[in-house]
Amino acid sequence: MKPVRTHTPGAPVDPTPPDRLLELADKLKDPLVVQTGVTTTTDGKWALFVTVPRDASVPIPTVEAQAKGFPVVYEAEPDEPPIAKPAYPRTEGR
Amino acid sequence: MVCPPSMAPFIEQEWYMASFGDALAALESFRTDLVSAQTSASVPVAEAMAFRIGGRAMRRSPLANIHATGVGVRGDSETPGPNDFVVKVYVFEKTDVSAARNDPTLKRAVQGVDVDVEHLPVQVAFKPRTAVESPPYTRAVPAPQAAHPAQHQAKVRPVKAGVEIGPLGGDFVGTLGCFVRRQAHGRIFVLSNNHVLADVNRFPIGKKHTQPFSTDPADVICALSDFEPIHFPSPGSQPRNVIDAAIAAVESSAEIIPGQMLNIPKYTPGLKAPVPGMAVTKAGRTTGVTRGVIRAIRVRGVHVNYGSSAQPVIATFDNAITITGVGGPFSKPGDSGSVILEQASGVPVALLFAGDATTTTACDIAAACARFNVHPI
Repeated sequence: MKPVRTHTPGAPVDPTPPDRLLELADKLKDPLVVQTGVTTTTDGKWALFVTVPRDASVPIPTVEAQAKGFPVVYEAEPDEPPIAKPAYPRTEGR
Repeated sequence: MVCPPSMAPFIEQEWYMASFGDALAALESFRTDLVSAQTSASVPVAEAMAFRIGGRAMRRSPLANIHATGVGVRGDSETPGPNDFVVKVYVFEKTDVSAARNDPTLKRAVQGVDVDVEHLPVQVAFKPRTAVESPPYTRAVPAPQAAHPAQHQAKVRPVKAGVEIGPLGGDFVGTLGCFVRRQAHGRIFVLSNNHVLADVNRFPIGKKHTQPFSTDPADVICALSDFEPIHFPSPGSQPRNVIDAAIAAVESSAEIIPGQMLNIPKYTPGLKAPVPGMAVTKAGRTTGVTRGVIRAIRVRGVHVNYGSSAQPVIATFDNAITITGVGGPFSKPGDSGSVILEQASGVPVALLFAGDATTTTACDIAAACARFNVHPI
């Protein structure tokens, strides 16, 4: 299975994420994981969020083992990094 | 990172774990040695600054061109066995692979684990993406109001949050996120991004900004007061950032109106924690009022490009928030600095600073307020 392009989280069932999940998101290490974070599943369960290369096969056993029972949401790494960029009014004709 | 073709079937085998653990343990020791070797290399101070991929500074030493390390399967192994895990070293340019492989630091095994150098560019070919569909749980939300981008680019007096702002006589613009104050009756500041108010660490304190984009000193509304520097990698250093934020002191409080955000009737100054699945809105200079949904929070390892696609300048952020637009992009260039609000309450939850066609990236607005010791008003 391939990672999803854009995950759709559900409204969380519990208002705050478990501390253990926050800790996992900060400490997770795996050669295939580019980013880690926290999200919810489509039905609102707190989950570990990871981005991996778009051609990676998921689930990744080593990540699942580190997740200690929390659901893992795999999202495909973006084609390019997001850009932090202002706008240039003169090029817009102003 | 690249998944070796042979890795997928291999990682399903149970005996994989022990060898992977050995390599992971060796990786920690290797990273310490690598940083030490990079630091001891002779690097002129002038070049220990923001780098550009493919630039001269990146080519000085094989060690200087390393941008990532990890654990993986040996590159030349077609059918990996239990002892085929190695410490992986990644370089930007293919031409730098052989030089790196011959470097003494990378030639020797670490705690019995071999080191394997691979080419891994940060950038890959851009493919246009289409806007995502509305998530199911937001379909009940009424359609967004008219975005009114032209209103957000016009002169607005008294000045409200969510409008165009730019350096006096400059050539770029961003968004005035919101007004903030240091104490109950203290001075009022504008909150926006470092890359809007300070031009990515370049502007001096006191740099004046106008509303809207203007060369007329009469349009000045604030002056740069403080910013959190954005740190870029340099040889021997892989810094992490948390916020892209700055504040500018309002010149005349008679010209502004705190507590209001243009075309957001329910703006409620305050701070609230962002939560996945939360419906959010923002008022920005380029796209006006848009709506979105928070996709993930506390995201670590987000690479953000402060240059262009042709000449990327990458900074890494932790504790980021990612957002998906509803019915179209949540933001575009020029919306940087917008304060993102919980749609239901109008309370700020994040500070917008980067994005692409699909995803908007924001930073922790509470951390930004704590950094400058201010609160939204």
